[in-house]
Amino acid sequence: MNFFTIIRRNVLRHPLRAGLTALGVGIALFAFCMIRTLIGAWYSGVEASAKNRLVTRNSVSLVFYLPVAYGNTISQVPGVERVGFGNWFGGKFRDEEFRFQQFAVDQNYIDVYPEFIFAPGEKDSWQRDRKGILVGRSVAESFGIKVGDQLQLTGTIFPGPWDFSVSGIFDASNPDKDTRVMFFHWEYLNERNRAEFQRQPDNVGFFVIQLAAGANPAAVSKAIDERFQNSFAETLTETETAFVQGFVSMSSTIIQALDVVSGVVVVIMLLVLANTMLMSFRERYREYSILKAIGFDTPKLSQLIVGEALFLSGLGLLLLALLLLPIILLPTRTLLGDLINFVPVFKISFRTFLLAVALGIGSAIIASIAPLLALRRMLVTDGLRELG
Amino acid sequence: MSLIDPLNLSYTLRNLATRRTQTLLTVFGIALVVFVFIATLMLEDGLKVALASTGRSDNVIIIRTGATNEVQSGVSREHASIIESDPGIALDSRGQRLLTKDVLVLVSLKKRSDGLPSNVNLRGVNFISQSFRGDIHVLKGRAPTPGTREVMIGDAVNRKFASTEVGDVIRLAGTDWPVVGIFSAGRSAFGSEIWGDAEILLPAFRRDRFSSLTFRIKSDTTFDALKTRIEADRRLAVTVQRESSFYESQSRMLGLFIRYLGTFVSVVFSLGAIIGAMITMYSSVANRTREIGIMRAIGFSRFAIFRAFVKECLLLGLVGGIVGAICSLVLIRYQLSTTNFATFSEVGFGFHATPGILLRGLLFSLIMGGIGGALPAWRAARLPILSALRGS
Repeated sequence: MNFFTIIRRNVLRHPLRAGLTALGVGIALFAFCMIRTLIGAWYSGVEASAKNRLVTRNSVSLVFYLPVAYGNTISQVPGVERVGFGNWFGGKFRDEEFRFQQFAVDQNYIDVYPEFIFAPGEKDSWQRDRKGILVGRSVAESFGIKVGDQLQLTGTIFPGPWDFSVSGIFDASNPDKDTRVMFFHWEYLNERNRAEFQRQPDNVGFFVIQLAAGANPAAVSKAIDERFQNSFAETLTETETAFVQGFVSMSSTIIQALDVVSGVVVVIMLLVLANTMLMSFRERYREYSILKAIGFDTPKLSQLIVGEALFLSGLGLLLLALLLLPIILLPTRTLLGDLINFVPVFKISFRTFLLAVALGIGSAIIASIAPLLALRRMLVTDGLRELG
Repeated sequence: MSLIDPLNLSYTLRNLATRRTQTLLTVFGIALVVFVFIATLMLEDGLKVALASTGRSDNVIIIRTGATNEVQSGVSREHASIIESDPGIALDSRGQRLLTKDVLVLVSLKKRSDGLPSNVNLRGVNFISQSFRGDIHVLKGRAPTPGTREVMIGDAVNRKFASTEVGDVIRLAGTDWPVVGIFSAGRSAFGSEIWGDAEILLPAFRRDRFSSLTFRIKSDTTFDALKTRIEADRRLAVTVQRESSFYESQSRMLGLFIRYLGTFVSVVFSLGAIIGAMITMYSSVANRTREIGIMRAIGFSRFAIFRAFVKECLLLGLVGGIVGAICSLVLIRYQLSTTNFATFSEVGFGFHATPGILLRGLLFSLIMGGIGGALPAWRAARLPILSALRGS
């Protein structure tokens, strides 16, 4: 009978308890993985953003506009390759809000984002159609939208019904890039705005800037903002990464709460594991005395205890792998259903899994500390004296 | 030994005391779960209280049709004056309309904690009264003088954002705005705003229309009649809502998010705690096999045994629940603040404890204890007498 067999038999002496403990470890680590992935999803926009793309907006805040004419001035700043602009539209689709974003953009805008991939000809047909709209794959799949469909958005900032025809459906080359978005012509918005609403026509929400190769983002940002200093609409230019990061930091409280929760889950797992280890040690007090008496030394017995803890958490990890399998294999859409509108990207990374494995092993070792200390203190005679 | 409860409480207590470490671990686990459970309930309630106590039910707010919040809305001066002439607007003792034409803009300020910018509502009002919008009172400094650029800062903004003390100057849209006061708005969301004079804000931010109109409704006018009258006016395109329900609707998404998250966390945590309790109770049964055999042999019924073990576990749950509930009360002192993505501005809220929430926490701990104890107690009750006596 080798060492591993002893450990295995020790664990399986109480199959129910071993099973429950493994279940506890498995569920806790599963929750840990899910929460970490959710936090990761929050940052996915940051991951997908480019450090060599700039965003210029009004320095007061996002709800203030900039004159469209700023675009010409920006394009003359050295280091700027291409300038696009857009307005956040904020429309409802089939009476639902916040499920995806819509932007009124100029022709340059989509060229500044090479990661959006269009089927051949779709870009051109969009450019020819004044009411054309480009729909992200994720939205198209959620609502069953096809090229050529007519669709209607209800404006919240620019009220009333807005009719569009779908010119194309695009994908993203980067899996982190969110495709819950629609693009339509800024000219269309501006014409109706000027005629019907007079809500600051000829103004745009933001400019997106593609830098020339080798240009220094910080220097170009500074140069742009200096051009508009002391004008009636001062600008704030930053890299796209910083811009998106700004949105993420707005929810920093929620992210911190999630961080705490993922930590507490690990503590609960540790409690379950430590509880089991203490219990099995107590039950085998006499056995350990006998083993000590017949010549097993403390290190050898310690290995038995740590081995048992590792075996238990190993079972838990196996369970974790089984629980994660469907999540890794199933497409995000099937898995999340309607929740996909809140979490665009939900992929459990290998790193998260490795972290869970490390935590499983770590807590097995920590859970063995109490029995190990008791083992060291134990005198052979103590254990032998005890009546079961 | 009474007939009603053959195995009394002291038996249960002594059993728990024998296995001190395990009892403590289990109680600690349950306490942790109850703590988190109560914390999320308190948070959800705190958000609701913050937004429900924002605005009064006898105030009416008018925004443009189609807009879901004040930032998206826009009401022109022309439309505003049509609405102002409505006979349903209450007057104060001096015969002036209890009405404010607000302009709401988002401005970006730097947080104290990390220096990163976040959005804050800057509200221009033309009626700053103690009672018009619930409990608004100046804590430090004074209220802004109408017709100047002076602003006062809500206490929640003051806590979270840098350079928002009395005497500081905020620079926005090329203009300096001196801070002259800090105000408290009770638990309401107005504490997450900065207030100034609407007529000064409009030109400074190059706006030509108000965001919303809010007025007190006359006591002899019914809300429904007023709503129908104004919304049916063909010159206007506005939506009429009670102020209280308007602000409540602003937090729906955030509240939903907290609830989803809270439910997920509570379920996972309680599974952990139930498993912990079960492990403890199973070992408790295993250790006492012979004892149970003896008790059965001297006449205790299966049901008495079952009840004793369930009671033991319920007690574990209850103690854990009480500890968790007491610990969670510490949270009342803390205030949270996050961006409400429905309005893109900061909303501050606290943990709000009610007896109902604490009771739900205790009930939850009892359920966890009950579920954790039922199966082991069942096993204990079903042990055959002879083999139990023979067992170790």
